[in-house]
Amino acid sequence: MSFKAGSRALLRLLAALLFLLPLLWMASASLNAPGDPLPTSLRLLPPHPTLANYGRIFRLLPLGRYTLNSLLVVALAVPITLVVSSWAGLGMARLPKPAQRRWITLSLAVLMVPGIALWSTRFLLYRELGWYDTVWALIAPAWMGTSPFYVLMFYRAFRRIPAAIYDAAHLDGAGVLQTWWLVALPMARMTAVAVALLTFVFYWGDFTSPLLYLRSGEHATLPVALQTLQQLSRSDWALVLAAAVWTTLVPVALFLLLPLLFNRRQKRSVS
Amino acid sequence: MSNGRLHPRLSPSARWRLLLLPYALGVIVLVIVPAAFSFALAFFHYDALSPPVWAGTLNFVLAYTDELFLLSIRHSLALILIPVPLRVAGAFLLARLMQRNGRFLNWFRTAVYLPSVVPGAAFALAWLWILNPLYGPLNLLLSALGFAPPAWLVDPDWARPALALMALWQIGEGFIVSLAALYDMPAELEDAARIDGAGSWATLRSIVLPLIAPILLLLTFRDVIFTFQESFTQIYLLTQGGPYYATYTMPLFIYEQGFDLQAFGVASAAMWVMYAITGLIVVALVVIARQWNIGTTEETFVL
Amino acid sequence: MILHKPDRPELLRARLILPFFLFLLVLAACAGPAPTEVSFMVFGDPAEYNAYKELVDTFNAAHADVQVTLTHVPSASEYRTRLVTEFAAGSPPDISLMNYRRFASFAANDMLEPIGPFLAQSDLIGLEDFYPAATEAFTWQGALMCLPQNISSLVVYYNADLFAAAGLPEPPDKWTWDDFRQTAVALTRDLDGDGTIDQYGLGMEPSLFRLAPFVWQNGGPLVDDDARPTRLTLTRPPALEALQWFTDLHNVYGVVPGREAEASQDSESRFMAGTTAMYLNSRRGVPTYREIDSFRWDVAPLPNGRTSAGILHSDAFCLSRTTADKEAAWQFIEFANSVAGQTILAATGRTVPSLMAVAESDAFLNPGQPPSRAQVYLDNAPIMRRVPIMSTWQEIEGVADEEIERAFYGDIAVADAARLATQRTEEYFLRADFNAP
Repeated sequence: MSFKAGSRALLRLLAALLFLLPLLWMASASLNAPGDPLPTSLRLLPPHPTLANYGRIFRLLPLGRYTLNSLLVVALAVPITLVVSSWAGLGMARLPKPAQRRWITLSLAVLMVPGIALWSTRFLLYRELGWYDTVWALIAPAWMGTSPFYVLMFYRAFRRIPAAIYDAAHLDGAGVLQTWWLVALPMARMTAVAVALLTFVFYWGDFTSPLLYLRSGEHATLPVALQTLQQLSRSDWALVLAAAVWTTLVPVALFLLLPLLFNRRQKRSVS
Repeated sequence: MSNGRLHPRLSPSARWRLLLLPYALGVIVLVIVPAAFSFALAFFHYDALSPPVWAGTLNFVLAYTDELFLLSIRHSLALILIPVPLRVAGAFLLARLMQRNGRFLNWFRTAVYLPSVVPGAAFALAWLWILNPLYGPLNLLLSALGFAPPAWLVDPDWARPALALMALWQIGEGFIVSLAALYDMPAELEDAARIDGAGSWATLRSIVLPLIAPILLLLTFRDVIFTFQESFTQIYLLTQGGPYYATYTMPLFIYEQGFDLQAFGVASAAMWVMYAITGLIVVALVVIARQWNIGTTEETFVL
Repeated sequence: MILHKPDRPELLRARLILPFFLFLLVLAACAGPAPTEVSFMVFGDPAEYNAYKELVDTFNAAHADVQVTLTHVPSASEYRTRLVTEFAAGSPPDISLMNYRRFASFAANDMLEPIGPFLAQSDLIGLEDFYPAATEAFTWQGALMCLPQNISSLVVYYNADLFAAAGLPEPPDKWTWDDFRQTAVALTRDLDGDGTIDQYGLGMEPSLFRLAPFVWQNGGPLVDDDARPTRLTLTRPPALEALQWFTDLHNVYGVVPGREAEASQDSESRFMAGTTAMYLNSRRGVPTYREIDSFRWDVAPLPNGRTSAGILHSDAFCLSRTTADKEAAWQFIEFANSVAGQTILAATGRTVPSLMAVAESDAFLNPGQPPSRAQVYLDNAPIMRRVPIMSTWQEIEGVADEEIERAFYGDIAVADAARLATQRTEEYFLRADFNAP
């Protein structure tokens, strides 16, 4: 290995370690045995590492229910988002040029609206619709594709498909929905996966919606559970971090496993 | 010609437009109507319990004379001015570092992106621990290296730097976008430069940067908006605007006015201001871009 | 129902369906109406929550027609935001536990149903059964709004083992500010000689509510008029002296953790871990402290300044005006504040009962669990004072707390903190609705 390549590899390793450091610290501190004193010198692992805190968080809060609530939210929100945003992206891609520009401008303008501008009036809206304190308030943004950014992502992907392919599909008698499902979406697979992942991460970690639009603990999701736990056990760091690790496990696992699943499916479809 | 299932009267292009219907409806109901409502509320007194009362521009005056409001603007801008360029530059440089093939490249890239996958609330609490003045690993590390560690989130002078530090780890999205842009760059240009004997630094400056600039602009755009508007969760969990308002930003002011004090009118007036400032920053960025002849056509927005 | 020509089994089934439905109808009629659901919201940490859970479970078991569901918010200061949001959403809890410092804004906005008339008609309890100080604190413009559950006050929790280890006698029933401070100093130590303090003598929140009894003990008022105050009087010498003494505990004597140490591990956790000798709190902490098994602890009264004074801590059951079935909700409130209900809560340690009969009973005074000196709370009753009851008091405390904290940790001088607190809270006094009409 040349010096240049070697130093590059070293830098990359350092960068990777640097970025993993907070996660390592978070996981390591969660292993501190309950009742043990807090660390006064740098250490990789606590003196008596234990998984006890992970059991405690489930006893202190109905964390199982909150996890299921979070899962329900993403199970509803991700498919709806994919459908709505890919439809919109495809629709935009098939419009004549001037109309496309208008929709892009509209989407960018909507993107710039501060989320905070919507908090209180959405609160009033959900109250009127009867969505207050239900899961519908949490997944509401999915009905507009969650973010114009995802619509624009699909738009970009669909625009890259040559018009000839759309025309061919049309000649074969395919309707709009059929074209979407059988022709366009398969060709934008990577974008769809990316949008699905980003949407999952968004809804899984969404803190303000449950904070503002839920009241009972029944529908609460993991992020507000974290806040509740932090208020209940302010100085029990190991406990709070164990809950943080738990909340992080699912999106991280998904993120790490997805490419593997993806590769396997591709290999299978190739063979 | 038609498939007979959808209404035969609709022309093909109308049918494509139908696809946009859910998105359009959603945007109207979930964004445009609430935003319009919010902006209209700026001219009323409203506490969600009794009907709105006309207040004219009083809310704007109230906000303007509230020193907390001006403070929140200053702090919001402070959290953008230096951290955002740092983040964009960091994302780009990291992407550059991890551009060419090498061993374990995918692992390294995954590591850089991983913190961005961590849910915001969990990430904030992890950093609350990391920045713990006496027992947190960061200060223990700094002490071991011989420095006198600051109190971070508890010290009014160090609270904002602490937030900026934390934000540096979540540049995953910018990293991916920069990577994609670097890949889209024609490889021949860089090869030609190398053959001509240009060092990597010079290549970077005169070849890569000009081509990548539109993407970096877009990233800056998005980062400014994101930091300005979406940092609420983390500040709310970490400092709640403290210590003594050191991290009190516009979202916190709006939240307090709206949900703590039920002064929805004042909160809405503050939102007008926030939107205006966001618009100003965006315009400034576009102007700077035009100055440097960075393309801002529709093509480049669409990449 | 049209039955076509059935086979034998179908005919049998058809013949059974009608009587079956009739049977169900009769059953439903006999069972009576479905139970009324009443929602009840409380705040507090897990041990406190369990205390209310026990109360609710006992009630639900005994009442088939009214079932109470318990919801819980951990942080008392966020509690108000939650409540207000729920009132705004039109679906507040039927019954909520409220502190006397915070209920006024709800009363002023007409969101509460006065509990007085229900109490007057009760066969189980009457106004005269309660400590007057507690019921007076929840009277708004002449009407009793909520029914108080307790008459707690600020006391000193102490780690008896640490006292013994230092060779100090446990705090007596009467001690002075100087005694208090000297004790704290003696108990603040660097145990392993590494230059950092490992054991603090004292832990407390630097807030207006903690400062108030010391201001009164020094002979000063907290506000310029108890009935219709217009400003805080922290800048007047007696209050200023008290604030100086209060902040000297950190700035001069170092008996409490500094800002960094407090943020790294709060004083209450330190007390429970056995590294802080004394901690100022109300009765609220007892359910959690009863989980301590590594050292012996007890309570002592506050030290006395020029005079003796205590401060009222009280929470009450408040009924929302929008509650559908108020009689059903009252059944629970009545039970919770009857001798039976208050005994349950007293046994958990959470309350200093507001019913005189229960407060003077063994359930509170001799429960067989710490604190053994429970009489200390009752001794406070004659000398306790309360903060003003007004709709913006929570904001006033919030602002004043910020300045007091800054002075406490040495960021600003005491005189400046007093001045800033007075100035910044003026607008809230102007906007307030008062108890006295």
